[in-house]
Amino acid sequence: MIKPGARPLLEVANLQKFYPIRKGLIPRVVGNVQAVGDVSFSVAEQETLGLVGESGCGKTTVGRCVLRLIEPTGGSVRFDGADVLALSSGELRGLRRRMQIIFQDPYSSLNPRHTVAETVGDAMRLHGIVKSRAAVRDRVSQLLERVGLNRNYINRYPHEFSGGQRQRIGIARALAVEPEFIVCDEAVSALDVSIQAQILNLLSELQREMKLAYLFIAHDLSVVRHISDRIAVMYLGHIVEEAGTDDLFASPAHPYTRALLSAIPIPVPKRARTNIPLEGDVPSPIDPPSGCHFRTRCPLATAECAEARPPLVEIGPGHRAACIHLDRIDELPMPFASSLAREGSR
Amino acid sequence: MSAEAAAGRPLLSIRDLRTYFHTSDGIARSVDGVSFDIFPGETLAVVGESGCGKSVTAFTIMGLVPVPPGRVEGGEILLGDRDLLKLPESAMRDVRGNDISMVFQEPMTSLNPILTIGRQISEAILRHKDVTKVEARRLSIEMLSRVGIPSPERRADEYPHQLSGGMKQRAMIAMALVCRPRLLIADEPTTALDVTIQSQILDLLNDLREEFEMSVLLITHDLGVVAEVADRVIVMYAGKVVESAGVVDLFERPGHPYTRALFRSLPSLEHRGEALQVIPGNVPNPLDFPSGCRFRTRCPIARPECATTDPQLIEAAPRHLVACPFSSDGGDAQ
Repeated sequence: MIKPGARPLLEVANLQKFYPIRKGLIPRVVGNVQAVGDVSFSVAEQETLGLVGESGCGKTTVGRCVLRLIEPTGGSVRFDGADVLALSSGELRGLRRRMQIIFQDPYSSLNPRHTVAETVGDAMRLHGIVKSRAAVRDRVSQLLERVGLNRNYINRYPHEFSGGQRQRIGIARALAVEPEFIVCDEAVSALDVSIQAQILNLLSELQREMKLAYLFIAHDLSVVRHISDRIAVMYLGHIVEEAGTDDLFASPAHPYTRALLSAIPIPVPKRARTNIPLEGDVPSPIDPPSGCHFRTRCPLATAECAEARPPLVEIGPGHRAACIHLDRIDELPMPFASSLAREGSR
Repeated sequence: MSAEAAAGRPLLSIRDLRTYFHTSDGIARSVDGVSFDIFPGETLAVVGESGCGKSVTAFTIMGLVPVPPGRVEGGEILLGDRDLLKLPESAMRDVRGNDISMVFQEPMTSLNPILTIGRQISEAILRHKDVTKVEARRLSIEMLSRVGIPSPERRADEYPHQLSGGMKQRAMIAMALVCRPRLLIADEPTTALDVTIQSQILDLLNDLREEFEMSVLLITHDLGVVAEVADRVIVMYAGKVVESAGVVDLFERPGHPYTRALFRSLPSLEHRGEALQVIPGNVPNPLDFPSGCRFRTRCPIARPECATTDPQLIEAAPRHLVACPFSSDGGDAQ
């Protein structure tokens, strides 16, 4: 839920993505991988929504569905009012100018045979933003400088760059078409700590300068907290909690969020551990548990949890959680991260 | 065990270790004069960014550096009275698994995909112990159960692809510890795992360390993980140890300008939204390290003399070594 009065740029409602499982000599659909079960959220202009969760929770699929890099199975995606899922491929191309993505792996997401000039410049030419060849080169040089690369690197190939530099190229490519919205899919996860800080700062500066909105998908909660205005937590294809960043850290309401926050390794040695141990692994999205998907690992689960999937209910301004035992959340210890966050916000 | 209590005889001593890689582009001095001790019962963390030489150090201890292009150019690795670098390969095979074991970052690539989990663990036992196959299988199942794998009899007959990432890492740990080594080297053991699974594995390693009275050499880039489990910490940069201290000491009073900069570049939970302080530039290329202090090109307090003198580790405080003669001169504007 975006702030009252803010204009929603992206509105996602009941998004679903199933992958059919086919088996047999004459393939028949025998089941579905429910990558995204039922996800709704909005991103306002110039806002960053963090989307967190563990591997297989569907966060990357959500990011790709929003841009229609993957066709969703159901639901609706509206960008600035336009129904993204109803667009023809030509219309979609026009919209892609306004929505971009930065990928996790700076090694596999750049074409090794293309120079920086081609990688960054092609989209500009394609969208007719800059017409002449000279103007394209000029604009690419400017962009390189803006993302912190030497403008003389324009004719180099990806292998000549380090991981952090490649990620800067990926950012320059996304910015080339002057978008309003960027999906950052684990954009700093593959980078070393010192380089990660450089890229996070760059993303924040660019957001202010170019009035960008981000959907920031990541598994590292300290990184997500640093950059996001609001955070949505996913578990096995569903959003289980959504809140303003400070709110989510200071008073996590869903048992999964609490367990997730308590598992963050925090660089404070010899502290008292307040771990909420989760038993076992995330269940398979082929055969998710009935009712609440988290119940098989939840320390608060009761028989009732198996009956129906709990809806996201509002528990405070802009704070929603999907659990029928919200009143019992304080049976679980408050994560250390939360006590730090509370101190910090004082 | 605390660093104080462990001040006795080290289990493993590394002295002036140098491991170079001879490539067509030149010599990469990946580990260049590294010395440290591991004491019985302690967890020693080695932290640093990619290319700092932390994994190469671990592989050198295990005798697993590929030759060529790698070559151990000098130094000693003393396990008791034996220098592991002087042992023939046959003797090293007895050391591996028996005295020193290793778990790797990618459990998916370090298990044999065509052998069952039980068979792989049994092989480790049969290699080092004089037991029957039946007994080896019984020990394997017992160990699988000890590392928290449910229904271990059934799991022992499964193949690696049938296990989740966290379960594979548990199976790797079972295999590494089944012969009760005195030292476990864990190279980024939780980096590929989700955060809730990571905390399960870190807890498990800690419990097993106490139960088996072993030492753990933990290689990681994650300062959060270091704070959770380490007793002492070695910080590496560009093939050298730049700082070494007890974990509380290091986090509360980091001495080396690199360590301080590393802490400041972490997104903190207390201060959100502020620009992160960054270390300018990139990690230097191992083929072409700067002269003198290798951090000087990115260091906020570098002076001209840093280019000409190789800084030595000096005792900045009791049991706190820092390889920077100017570390007390500020550069720590927190």
